[in-house]
Amino acid sequence: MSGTEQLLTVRGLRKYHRTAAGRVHAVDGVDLDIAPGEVLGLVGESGCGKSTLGRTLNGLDAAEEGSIRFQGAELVGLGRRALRPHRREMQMVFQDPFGSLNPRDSIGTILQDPLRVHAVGRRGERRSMAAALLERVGLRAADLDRYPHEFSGGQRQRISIARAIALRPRLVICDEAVSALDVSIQAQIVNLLRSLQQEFGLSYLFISHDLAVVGYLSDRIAVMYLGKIVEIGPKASLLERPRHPYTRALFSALPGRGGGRAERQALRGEPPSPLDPPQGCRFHPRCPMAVERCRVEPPAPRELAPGHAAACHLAA
Amino acid sequence: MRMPPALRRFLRQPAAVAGALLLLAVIALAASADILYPEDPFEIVGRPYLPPFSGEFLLGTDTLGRDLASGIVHGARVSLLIGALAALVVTAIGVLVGGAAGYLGGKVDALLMRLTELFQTIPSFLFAIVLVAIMEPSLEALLIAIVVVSWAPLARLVRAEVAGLRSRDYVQSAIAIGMGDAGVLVRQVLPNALPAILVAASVMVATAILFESGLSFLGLGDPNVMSWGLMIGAGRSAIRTAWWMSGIPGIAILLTVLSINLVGDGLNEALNPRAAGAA
Repeated sequence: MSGTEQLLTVRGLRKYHRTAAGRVHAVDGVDLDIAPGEVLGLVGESGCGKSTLGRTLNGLDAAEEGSIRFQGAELVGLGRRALRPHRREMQMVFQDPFGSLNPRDSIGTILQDPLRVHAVGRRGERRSMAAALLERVGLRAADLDRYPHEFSGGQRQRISIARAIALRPRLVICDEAVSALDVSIQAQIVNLLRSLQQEFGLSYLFISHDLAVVGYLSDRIAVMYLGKIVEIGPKASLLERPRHPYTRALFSALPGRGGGRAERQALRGEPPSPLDPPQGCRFHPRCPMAVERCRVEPPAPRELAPGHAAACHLAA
Repeated sequence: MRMPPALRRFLRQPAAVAGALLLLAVIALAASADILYPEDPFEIVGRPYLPPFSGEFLLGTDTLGRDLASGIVHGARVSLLIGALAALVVTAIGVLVGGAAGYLGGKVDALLMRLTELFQTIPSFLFAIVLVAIMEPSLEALLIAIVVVSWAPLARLVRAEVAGLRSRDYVQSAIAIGMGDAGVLVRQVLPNALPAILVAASVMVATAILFESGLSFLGLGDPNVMSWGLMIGAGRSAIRTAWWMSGIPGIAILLTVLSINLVGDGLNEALNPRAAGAA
């Protein structure tokens, strides 16, 4: 885990939200790596901090502490202007297909914006580049002159994806990119993402609460709980044998997985308030196997199988 | 030929269309003032106290024998000029202050909002009277006073709009693309705040006209410029015997302000359809 081969190396990343009630530790000491061409799935319940993690990596939220190394360059502490060349290589796709396109801009303008900002191509060339992008994501070049409201949710998400890949980035952060879509449309968009990944050698950080989609698309999966990554590992290893009790509970909620009723573990209660996270292991109040040690000592991640680590005292 | 949907929604409202026609009539009247009544409206042209429809004096004459119709037509110019200029300047300040506060947030926002609160706590008409009293009475003084007492609410409105729009995903994705602050504000945020700003600006025109009339009525207006407020003030002493001297300019103010408010409401309906989203 030296990070020299990695596209993205994150260490000890912290991001707080200041609210009237106090500081919320949305991202509280996250370590992760993404290799070139790799898809890392990030799962967790809503409110666990996975969207904030994505936004912090992209520089939309400023990190409080820690390090984000992207292609060898440190991003934490960089200002807007200094960040710009790196942004070209790291793009984002948002969840809401109805909110992520400016209703007053034509599709042509929306797709040419990234090219214009980074001075890619001459004025006349950009339109044909935008047309090619649109065709690549399965829409027609004639759609350039239409406006966002004329498209369905799935089509809009295709446009968002076209915008994200316009600059040929190395990494695309997909924040719940298919969660707002109908299941049949979801499959189309997921397949589009996969074919783009293969064509351009993209890496994805694929943030979702939908384990089925994450399992299909990812090479590795990270599980987040209350601002921390509790388990991370290769997809096969993690799906076959989840080590952390939280991961097991999350997976057993999936239909067709985890066998019979006896094996299914329902999570007790709601996740605790991130304003006042529990002492020790953050999962212990809901954990079926918690012991005294879990109440006092926060567990450090331990590698339990090659590349597969879990932050649990009891996991083996 | 395709009509923009906002224009179609505007034309579908009878009240808004009536307001627009009325406003156009006032504008036409003001524009042709020098053709209709080329002489100075302060000129004494006939017998005083003539009621409306007295021969050549369509709206009668005032206590000094000045033609009321000429005053109304020339006064329309002043009212519209003050209204339009005040709305323009107030909107410019509001967009600047509110845009900076809403977009930058943090300390800038806190500072600018405390400043607007300071201005909002002072009763605006009294404040305007004080300002005009300090300055030489002139159209510029009126304009400055109206702007000073009116910019704060608009700045707050723009701030709220901008702050709300800033968190939209399309704004976030423009930032993620690497677009600079100015680009994001001008190309992504403000065009979407435009409907709300436009509606507020149109109402501001009406408010400014009322301010001008009120100040002129109190004798704080430009004494060399015929305005509706001045006419009401001049006719006030004779209101029991010759109601038309103040009644007619009053009706002129009422109709003009009403027409602008109708247009403003129509714009609001046309540009901010609440059940929006779909085409």
